[in-house]
Amino acid sequence: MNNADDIIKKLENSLMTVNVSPKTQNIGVVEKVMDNIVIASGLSKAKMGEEVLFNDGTPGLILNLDEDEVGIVLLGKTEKLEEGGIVKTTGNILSVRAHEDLLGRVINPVGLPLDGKAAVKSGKAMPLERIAAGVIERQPVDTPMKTGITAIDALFPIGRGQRELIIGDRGLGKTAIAIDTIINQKKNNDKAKKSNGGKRLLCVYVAIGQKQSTVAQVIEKLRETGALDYTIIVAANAADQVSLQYLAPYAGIAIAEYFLEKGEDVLIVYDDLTKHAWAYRQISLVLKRPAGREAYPGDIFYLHSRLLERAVRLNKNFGGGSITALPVIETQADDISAYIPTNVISITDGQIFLKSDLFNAGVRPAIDVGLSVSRVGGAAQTGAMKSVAGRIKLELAQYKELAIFAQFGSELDQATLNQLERGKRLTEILKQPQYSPLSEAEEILSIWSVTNGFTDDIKVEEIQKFEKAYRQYVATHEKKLIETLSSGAKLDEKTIESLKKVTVSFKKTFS
Amino acid sequence: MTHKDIRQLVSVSFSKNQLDEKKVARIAHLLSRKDLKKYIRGLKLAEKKHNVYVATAAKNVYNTKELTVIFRNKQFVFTFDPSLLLGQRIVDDDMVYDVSLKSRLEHFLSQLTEDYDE
Repeated sequence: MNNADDIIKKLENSLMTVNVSPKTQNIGVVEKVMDNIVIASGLSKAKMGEEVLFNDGTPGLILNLDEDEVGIVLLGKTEKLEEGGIVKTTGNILSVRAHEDLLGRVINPVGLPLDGKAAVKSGKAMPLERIAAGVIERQPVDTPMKTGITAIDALFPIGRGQRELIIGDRGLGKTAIAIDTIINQKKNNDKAKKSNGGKRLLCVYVAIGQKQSTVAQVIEKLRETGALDYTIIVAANAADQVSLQYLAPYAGIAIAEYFLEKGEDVLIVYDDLTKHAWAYRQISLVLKRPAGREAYPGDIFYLHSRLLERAVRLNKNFGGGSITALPVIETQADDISAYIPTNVISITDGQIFLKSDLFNAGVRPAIDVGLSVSRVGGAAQTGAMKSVAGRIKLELAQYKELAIFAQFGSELDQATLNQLERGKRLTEILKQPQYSPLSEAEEILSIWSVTNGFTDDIKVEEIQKFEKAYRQYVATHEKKLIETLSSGAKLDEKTIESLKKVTVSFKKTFS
Repeated sequence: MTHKDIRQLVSVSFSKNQLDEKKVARIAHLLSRKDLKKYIRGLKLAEKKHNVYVATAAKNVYNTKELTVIFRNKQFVFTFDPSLLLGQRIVDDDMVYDVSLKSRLEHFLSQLTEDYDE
C-alpha cells in the first residue's frame, strides 16, 4: 500500500467514526424583556460573557449572573421575543471573525457587513474580551506614529503602542485629527508595499453611537484618499442597539489583535468613548446594577482601563507588533474635570486637548498647548524632529505667558515685542487645514524656518502662504535635503547650512 | 416578602416529592396577590425540577428503569415526538440531553456548512 492509499484510508476511517455522545445543552426561559435586556431563569451552567441563542436565532450575551436569574443583552434586532421563550447556551465566549479580507470593509461589532458586500466568513475567531499582554511581552514605545499634524508631531509626539486621548467639546475637530492620522499612513503604507519589507500601519476606526451620516462621511473621505484600503471600520451607530455600542470598541481591538499576532502595527481609533460609557450606563441601569457618580456603574473605570490596556508594543520575542490607541472623549463646556474625562486621562499616556476658544479664534487644529501632553511619545520622536521641536515648546510657552501680560496694554520693551511676534508666527505655522497631513520633512522645514527667525520679516497673515511656497520650493530644488530630513537623523551642521542656504534663496523669490 | 421567603414556602409545599394540595391551599390563602404570583412561579420552577420530560421517537417505548438509575427521585413524563427520527430527548430542569438522530444530523449539517478557521 503506498502513501496516498494510506492517507485516503485514514480519511475514510475518520468518516466512519460517528460521535454518538449525547448533545447536552443548558436552557433557560425568558422571564422579562426590557430595553434590549432579557432576564431569563434556568441557565444554571451559564458563564459570564457567554453567547446565548434565543428561539428565533437572535444572539445574546450574558452580562449578569444572579442566584436564579441571568441578565442577557440582545445582540440583534428581534420582535419575536416573548415571555416563556427558550434561550440556550452555546458554550462560546463572544468573538468576532478577523481576517485580512476585512481591510477596506465596514462591519458591525458582531462581524456582519454594513457596506452591502458579502460577509467575511473565513478567518480566526478573536474573543472580544481578553486579558491584555503582560509586562514580559511588552517593550517601551520607541517607534513614532506620525500623524502628519505639525502641532502633534512636534509637541506631543505619539509612539507606536501608545494610548493618546483626543479630548474636547463637540465640533472642534476631534474626529478630524483621527482621520488625518489615518490618511497620513498612506505614504508610509505605499512605501512598505513597494519595498516589500517596510512595516505598514493598519488602521481600525471604531464608530460608537455616531450618526450614520457622520460615519458615511468618514468612509467616503477615507475611500477618496485611498486610506480605506488599509482601514477596517467597526460601526455601531446611534440607531443600533445599545449592546452593540457597548461591544464596538472590544470588537475593534479584537480585530486589531488578530493583526498584532501577525507582528503588524495597528492604529485603533475609538470615536468616542463618552458614548461608550453612556451605552454601558444604560445597560447597567436596566440590569439594576448599583449606580454611582453621574449614575455610572462602579466598574466604569475598569470598562475603559481593560480596553485601553490592550494597546501594546510587543517585544521581538512576541512578534514585535503594536496597537496604538487614539480614544476620543467629548467634553461639555471644555470641562476636562468631569467623571469620564478624568478617568480616561488617567488611563492614557497623554491627551490632546482641543479648546473651543482657540477654535473660534481660527486656530485649527484647536490644540491647547498648555493642557495637552504626551507622556511616552518623546522617546519615539526622531532625532531631526527633536532638534527643532525643543525650541518651539519653549518659545510657545513664553509667548503664552507674554500674550496674557500684553493684554493689559502696558508698554513693552523690544525683546518682549519680538518674542510676541515670533509667537504669533509659531501659532500660524501650527495651523493646518483638514485632510492635508504633512510629511515629517515638511513639518521640520516649517518649524525650523520660524524658530530660526527666517519669517520674522513676513507679515503674520502671509505666514501660511509663505510656508506653503517654501515647502514646495525646497521639495523641487533640494530633493537631497528632503531625503536627509526624512531619514530622521539629527540635524548636523551641514544640513543646517544647506537649510539656511535654501531658505535665503527662496526668500529672494517670495514676494 | 423576599425571594428567600417564597423559596422556603415553595419547598414546604411538597410532601414526599409530591405537591401537597392542602399545604398549597393554606399558603395561597395567606399571600397577597403580588406574592401569590411569585409563589406560583416558584411552584412551576420546583415542579419542573421534580419532573424529567422524555420525548421519544418510538411510540410506547418507556425506558423508565434505565432512566431511574440516572435521574434518582424524579418522575418521568413521556411524550411521543416522531420528528426526532430515532432516539430520545431528555429535559431535566434546565439541562437538555439530546440523543436523537435529528440532533446528530443537524450537527453534521452545521459542521459541513461551517468555514474552517485558519
